[in-house]
Amino acid sequence: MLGILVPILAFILIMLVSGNNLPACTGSIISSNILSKKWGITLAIIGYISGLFIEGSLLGRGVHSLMPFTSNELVIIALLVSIIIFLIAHKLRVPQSLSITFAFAILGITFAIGKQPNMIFTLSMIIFWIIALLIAIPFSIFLMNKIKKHTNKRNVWNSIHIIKISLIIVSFFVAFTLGANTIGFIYYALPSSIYNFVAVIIAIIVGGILFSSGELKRIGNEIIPMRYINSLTTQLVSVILVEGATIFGIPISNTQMFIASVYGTGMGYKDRFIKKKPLMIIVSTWFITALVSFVLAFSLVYLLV
Amino acid sequence: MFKPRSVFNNLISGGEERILTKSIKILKIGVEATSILKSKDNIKVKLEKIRKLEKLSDNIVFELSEMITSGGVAPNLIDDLLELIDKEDNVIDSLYNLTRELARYEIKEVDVKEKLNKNVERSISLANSAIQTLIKMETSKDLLKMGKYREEIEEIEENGDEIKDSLFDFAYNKNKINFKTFYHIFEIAHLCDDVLDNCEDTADSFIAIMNSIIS
Repeated sequence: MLGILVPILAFILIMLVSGNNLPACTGSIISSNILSKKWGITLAIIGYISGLFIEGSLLGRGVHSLMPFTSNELVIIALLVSIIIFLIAHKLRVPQSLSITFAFAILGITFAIGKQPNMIFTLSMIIFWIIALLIAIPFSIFLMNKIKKHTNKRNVWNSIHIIKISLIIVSFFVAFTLGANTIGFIYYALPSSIYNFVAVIIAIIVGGILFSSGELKRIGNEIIPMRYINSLTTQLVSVILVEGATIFGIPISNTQMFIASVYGTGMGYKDRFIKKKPLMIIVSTWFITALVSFVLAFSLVYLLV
Repeated sequence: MFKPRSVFNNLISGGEERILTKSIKILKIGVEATSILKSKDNIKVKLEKIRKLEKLSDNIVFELSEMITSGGVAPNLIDDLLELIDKEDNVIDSLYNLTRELARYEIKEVDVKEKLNKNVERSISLANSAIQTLIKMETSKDLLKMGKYREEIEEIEENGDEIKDSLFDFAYNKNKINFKTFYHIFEIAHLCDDVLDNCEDTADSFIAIMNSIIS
């Protein structure tokens, strides 16, 4: 019975991740009509799946360091906690990180069963999150200025064509790194089974197709209406940092990197006023969701297992 | 069905580029309108011709608005592009309004009439130059050249201000002109200035869009 629940919950969680993160991957190229919605979604799905296949296994190291357990019931609790927190945050329209939520749910379970995760890895992971966040902002400013400097202003349309083609390529890699990192992290936390594998692949496709529309519309209108160079910079910074984390097997939040680089590109304009309050709210939300998922997972294991 | 050619075309000639290229049609109508105004035709004939051009411009604006709002451009550019085509249309509208005012009243005093006609001709020539410069600006690929064209248009507009001031001075200083003539001169001076102001606004709007696209 519990064995059936794992692929079902994994399906739901991956489906939510796939749909919810799609706008951050290809939202800019869809909203600016560089690609149609259909082809933007397809590009993201291909990116997720190829990322999972090619580099997803790198996250296996991270999973084993954080998660000294393999029982179905504990995996179910981790998935359930992540889904609950994801849905609450979504309802409150608060950007949140599934990687952080899932990682802290696993840590909560590990401590609740009286075991210890690999502390060096756990600390490295948290330090990497903070450093990546701190790097993302100045790196975005630096990269945006470099791109602007090298943009040929003598042939504007030619430059725009190059930027648009680069945006498509980089958008694919955003989806690729998300597939490798976030989806890879969840997938390698599941017990190895063909059912889980099939559930994850179908969830990526179904989530991308069915659950991205609302988010695409919202993010396309509210967050993505950036200039082409801003979008390119934001995506590029996100790809570089998430790929860096993936190489070390560290789960990291794409949303976190995306939002930090959006702020970075905004700060790159001297004449722009950037509100700091929303950033503080977002950062504190990450801390709160991490804490809540840890406590919730710990309590559920303590009460149920 | 996946159409690589349409995707490629979309990349090579994006929505903004297509819209800006098509919007040049409005400016070409402006050139035609100024040519009609400069011609030797009767003012009623001129008015009829320019009325048709104004309608044509409205139709192009309608088509362009549909192109802009039905997708094809980045969301942050939608309002700016709508504003640009509206300003381009204002150039044609102001030329039409000027023609209507010219047709509305005929000055009896010969010297006053000559003075006004001379200034109107100068003003229309300036409008023609400004619109031609706008076309060069919108067909250019070079952002730096676009900036220079904008400066040229600004200079033309300043020359237009001088014409307006000289007409005001003339109207106020001229003795023995009736109120209708005075008011007519006043209106014409304002309407001539409107055409050049609209050209300058269009140039500013275009530069803002290009900066937004490339920076």
